[in-house]
Amino acid sequence: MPQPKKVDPRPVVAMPDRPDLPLSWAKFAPAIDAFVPPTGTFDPAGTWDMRWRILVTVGGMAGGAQPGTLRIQRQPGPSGTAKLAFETQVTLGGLQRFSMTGTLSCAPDALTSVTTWEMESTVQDIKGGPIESTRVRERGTATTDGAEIDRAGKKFRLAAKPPLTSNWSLFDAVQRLSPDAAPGPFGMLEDLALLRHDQRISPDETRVLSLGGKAMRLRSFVQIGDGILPTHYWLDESGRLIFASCGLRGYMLDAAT
Amino acid sequence: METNPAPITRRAFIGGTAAAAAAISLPRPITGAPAVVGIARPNLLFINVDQLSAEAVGANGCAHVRTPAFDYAARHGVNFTRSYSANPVCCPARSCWQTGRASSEHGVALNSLPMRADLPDIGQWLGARGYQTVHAGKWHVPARDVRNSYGLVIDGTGQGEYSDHAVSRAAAGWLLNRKGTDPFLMVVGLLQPHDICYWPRLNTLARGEIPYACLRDKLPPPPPNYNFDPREPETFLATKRKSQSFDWPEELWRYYIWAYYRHVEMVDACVGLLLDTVESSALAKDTLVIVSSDHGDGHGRHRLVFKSDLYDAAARVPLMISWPGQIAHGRTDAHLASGLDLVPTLCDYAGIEPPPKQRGRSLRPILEDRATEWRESVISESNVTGRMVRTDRFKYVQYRGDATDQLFDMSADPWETKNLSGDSAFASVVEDHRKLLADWESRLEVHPEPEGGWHEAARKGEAKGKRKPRR
Repeated sequence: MPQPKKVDPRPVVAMPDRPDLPLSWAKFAPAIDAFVPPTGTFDPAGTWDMRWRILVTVGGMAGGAQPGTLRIQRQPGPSGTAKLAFETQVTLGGLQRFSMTGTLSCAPDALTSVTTWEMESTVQDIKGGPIESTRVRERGTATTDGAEIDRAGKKFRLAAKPPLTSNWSLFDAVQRLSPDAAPGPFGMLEDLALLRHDQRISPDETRVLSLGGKAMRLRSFVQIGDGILPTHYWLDESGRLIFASCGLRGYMLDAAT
Repeated sequence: METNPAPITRRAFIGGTAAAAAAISLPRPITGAPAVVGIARPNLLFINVDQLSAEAVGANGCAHVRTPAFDYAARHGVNFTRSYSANPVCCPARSCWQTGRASSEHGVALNSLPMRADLPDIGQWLGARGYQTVHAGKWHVPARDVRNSYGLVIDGTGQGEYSDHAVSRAAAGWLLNRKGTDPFLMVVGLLQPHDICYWPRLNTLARGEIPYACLRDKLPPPPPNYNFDPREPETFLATKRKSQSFDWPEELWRYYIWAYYRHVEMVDACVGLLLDTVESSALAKDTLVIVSSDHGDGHGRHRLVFKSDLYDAAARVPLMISWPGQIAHGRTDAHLASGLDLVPTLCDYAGIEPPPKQRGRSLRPILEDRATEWRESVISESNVTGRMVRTDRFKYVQYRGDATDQLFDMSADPWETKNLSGDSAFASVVEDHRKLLADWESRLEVHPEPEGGWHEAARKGEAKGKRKPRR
């Protein structure tokens, strides 16, 4: 006779029991299970064009809704500098979409610190057309004590200790960090607008995972600081950023595109 | 632990509150805040966040969080330190903000219950009277389409971590691109730190310890009311026992509190984006800016997570109001305020009669430092939990379906650790506060409780999906 299961009256822990996955991946397990491993070679210091699917847990339950995408293109410049171009969009409620596009000029340092940037954002309505009144164009410059931003002709200053990087720059930087690197403290401009102080990155777990039918050896970094939840970056042996997660968000490499 | 305060008699209580009222009614020196002159109809910007406790803001004394934007709002306007949510649950509180009516009147006693169709909301009210109206982000007023209330709508989502920046940036864009001369009402609903609601489900670690050793020395200490008077109503305790957090070890509580503060910092930067936009533009001189939260979060106080209870961590919210050159600058104010004061205040500044039967009051006399007689008590009601009334010195809580009540001496015991309700020395104080609650209820047009009760109605509403609020 099978024994009846004991019922715990409390709500279940939403994290699925997936000891085969790192803790920071488990909440996205259904999406991870559909992951297609990348093929070919990868040079993190070279020219590349990468896309990630943005995942989000809804209602704190494991799942992995895919409300958006992030694309970053890297072009190396002279003396170790680089230019990054980014495009990202996410679905808002009511089927509006929010998008940001722009370019970053980056310093030749371990954090891909930002030097100058341009970006534009807008909300598209349900029919796909932009709501022009929400469009914002801006230019920014990193300074010795933070950043200056010209947003629609208005000047803003953000005070921060250098170095100052961005969340998109870090998607590039972690791919070139040596496995034992631990940069920080540094400032991060999330979406080139929201200043996060006192960030640090340190090496974290290394694991061999079975992803898409392929055994992949991955190493990771974790970023901790003000204004963010612990952010994990998982890289394959060539340094390619396979997966990142922060709180309810995940970024899964979309190798198929 | 605090020492037991001296018992108070009924006479002393009444005398104390009368003296406080008298003090409030006396003219006070002007503190550099000229009355509004030369601006007939100012712009009105209401920035609201979700689940932010008053005590989780740097300007209000929290040393474990970095909140430059909230601090700026506090320094450049009036910072109300005793502002209470009208109902410490999302939909009811937001419906109070929109209508100025108590949650036992507007129908949204719980999330998912529908708002009464006959009550105008502030978007409709001001929109029909010459204001451009914009709503961006979280709405959460059930059974009312925000698009029928505001002229332009920018949607939010249920996950602040990835949509708050989109909402604040789009709202800032609208402010920067604005054309026309009509005054505007813009309501921006940012979701954080509400994502903390999902944190326990995803971080009650079945696999062991906190996964980041480097965090151990960064975790804030347990709050002063981590240990507290266990005499809570049984109905309340039963809910606590069912909570995922019920048997957390101390370190996990501290991790939760640490995570909560990081969520607060996330939204602070978005608020800063909006405040910077106003300040850097011509809008600053004719825009009244209000910053507040629908309710707070337990964040480990009384070993609670989330909201719905009536302890200060959940019920007391930040409220900062600024308008350079027009209202007091950098003043901390202890008048008792309520989420129900929003509509009367906005209408007062707009020069428009508010919708009928408002339960709150305009804060304008306080903001402009004019002599006024102010309320002696403020009510917060939760159909999940019960009712509370806060007076100058005390806070009294009655629970639904449970005779155990609570009385706290907020002057001597601001962390609400000692329940004085069973102490005979405070019997008259309890009685006075019960009367205040009864008097409040007698003045309301209470919405009838649905057959089967509020909770059953809310469950049905969620199951049918018909009353799902628009974000």
